Amino acid sequence: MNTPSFKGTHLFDRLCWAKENLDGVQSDYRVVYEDSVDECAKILVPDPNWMACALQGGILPPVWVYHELAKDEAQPDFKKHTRGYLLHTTEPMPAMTEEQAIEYLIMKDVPQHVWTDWNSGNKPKMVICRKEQLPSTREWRNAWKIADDITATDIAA
Amino acid sequence: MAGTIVADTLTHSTAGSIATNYVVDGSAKAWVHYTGTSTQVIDDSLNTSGITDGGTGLSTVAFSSSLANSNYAFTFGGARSSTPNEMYYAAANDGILVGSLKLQTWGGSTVTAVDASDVTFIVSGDLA
Repeated sequence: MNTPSFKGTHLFDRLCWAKENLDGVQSDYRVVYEDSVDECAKILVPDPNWMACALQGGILPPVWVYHELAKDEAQPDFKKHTRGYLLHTTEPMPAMTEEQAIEYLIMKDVPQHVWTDWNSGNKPKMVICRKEQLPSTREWRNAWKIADDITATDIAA
Repeated sequence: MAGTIVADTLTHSTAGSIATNYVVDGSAKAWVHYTGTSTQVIDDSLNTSGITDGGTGLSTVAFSSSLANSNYAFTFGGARSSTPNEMYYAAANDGILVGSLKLQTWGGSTVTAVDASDVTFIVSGDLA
């Protein structure tokens, strides 16, 4: 199915179109990251309907739009978005591969200080893995950390 | 877009009229149903891009189309795990943001953080 020409269409309307016309895609990828040494590892789980939009193309805005909105939200006097039109009027992204979609999602939903500097410390602060590589139970969930001996080479392998 | 009807009012033949902004403003702007136990997975949703499992009983749901402000309304619900019998759902006090909502679940007589087997929530409010 071809995506209608959505430039200028409210993003919510595009998502409703996708909900009605696209089957969800459950990704096996998970993003494990640590954004604080005092907290356990966090795990980002992609939404299947969002993933369908990413793979379809022509629906989601470029990720820089979210970064622009985040700048506004970071202002101390922020009360309400006045540049929400960026979500709706910016040319939508073309179809992505699943891997490209995960990279987009990282830049959207993982704290920027993690993904811009993910491999500068003693160990990587972020790892993309498959669901089956995570513990199957949630025992000691609040103590989960990325392994100390993991390296970028391990991740690339 | 094809199929668009522009109307400010809907009128029923006998029951009266309603302004279409009741529908636009009153409809849910995001909802999600996810499994909070084992390896978390989103079962179905609208207007969410993913969840972040932040530890026992703690998840953050990110929106695709952001809310205009953080004064939106939300309701939580879900199914308990096999134990405990009581479950409580609330937003984290620092987690009501225009782009995401952080949810905590507790349960049991000591009200400690626990994972709920099925978690749902609905958001109503103004979109950015």
